[in-house]
Amino acid sequence: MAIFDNTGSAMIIIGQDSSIILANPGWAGLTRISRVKSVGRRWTDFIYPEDLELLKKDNNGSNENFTRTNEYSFRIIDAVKNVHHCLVSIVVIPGTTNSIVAIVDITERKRAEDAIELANKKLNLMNNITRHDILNIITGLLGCVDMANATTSAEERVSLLRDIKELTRIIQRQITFTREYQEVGVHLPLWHNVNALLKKILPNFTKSGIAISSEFEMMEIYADPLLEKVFYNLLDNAIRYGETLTSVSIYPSISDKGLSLIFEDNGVGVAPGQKYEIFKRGVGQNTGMGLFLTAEILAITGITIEENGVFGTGARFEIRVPNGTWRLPPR
Amino acid sequence: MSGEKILLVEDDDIIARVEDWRLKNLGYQVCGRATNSDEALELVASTRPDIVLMDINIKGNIDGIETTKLIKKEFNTPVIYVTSHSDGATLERAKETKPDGFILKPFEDNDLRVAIELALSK
Repeated sequence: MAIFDNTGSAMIIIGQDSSIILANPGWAGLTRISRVKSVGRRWTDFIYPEDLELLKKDNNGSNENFTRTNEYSFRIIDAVKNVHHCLVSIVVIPGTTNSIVAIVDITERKRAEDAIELANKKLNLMNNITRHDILNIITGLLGCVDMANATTSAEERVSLLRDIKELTRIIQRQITFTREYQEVGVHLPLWHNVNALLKKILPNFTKSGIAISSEFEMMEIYADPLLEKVFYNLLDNAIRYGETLTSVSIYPSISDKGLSLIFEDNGVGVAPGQKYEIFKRGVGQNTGMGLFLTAEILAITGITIEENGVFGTGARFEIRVPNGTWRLPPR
Repeated sequence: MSGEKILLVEDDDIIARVEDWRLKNLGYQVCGRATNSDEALELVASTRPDIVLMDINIKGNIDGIETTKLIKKEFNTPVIYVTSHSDGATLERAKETKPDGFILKPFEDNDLRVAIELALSK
């Protein structure tokens, strides 16, 4: 009994009908339900419904209540609806119809694994993109060099040399971008105070002459540490491409689905056919990476972004922060 | 080569300019340039090129590979891909369209000439 109580992981003894006969302190800690109150409840009621269905399927459709000796990996929901990723071992106690269930909470490990997997995928993607883009630019560079060699016009040669310089700068920007991009997903997400972040970046745009207003108080959002870059990119893009732009408003909007951060300007806006295109890699008038990177950074914590302004009256970027990834901290 | 008509499908201005310059230097005639699938199909119909040089990653929702399928189906015009995509998945998709050549970026005069002459000799 001492081992059962002090094993460090969650353990329960269950009967053939999957009801809990005995629970240890680890179980109470995991489920946030006292040992006494756990007794008599079916332990399968704590399994995440979708996982339970999968387990039943694995069990050839039969609901044997998972009392056989086996190892499983599934999610468990605690009393306050938190979801825990768990490794579960079930062993039938010899000479009885009861089983002992040992549960190890691997949520933190799972999060770390998911983050590593995502970061890996993104870095592979970025390698491909960079290779593609730089090869494209080199094609242009080699062409310009050959044209500059061939031309007899001094004026054309100067123009081609200007192009060569610009193309070289694009390669430089691409390489700089890869350095920035390789940071995406590398560090664990953080809670960011939106107002503090905006206050930090707005001074970068004072020389632009654009009026920028923001209306945030204590809102915090859970995002990759590169969130600052997202805000910077959105403002930089507005100023760079807004043409007739004179002002940008940044404000929140709360709905039952979550929080939206709106970046709205009075520039030319985004043409209807470009609203999705602008988030694709390489699409854009500069490096074509700003909005792609923006969406990638946000995606690390499940945040999405779309442009839903009216073309001709201004751009409106809406960052959708799902419930659970934003909060209003107590004052 | 005897002034065969070549259509460029390329959305990058500088690369299109380089292609245009190289092709003319090599003695070919550039009969037009498209930046997306619709333009490509229109220009194939109106100019009847001998060969299409097709970038895979073009503007719009229909990429160069899908555009090639349409060109092959409707006009049976030879298509050479010009691309910096050399990853397996893209190559497999491209191969399915039975292209008449493949030029990897960066390219120079000789790469263009050899690929075009081979395609024309088929």
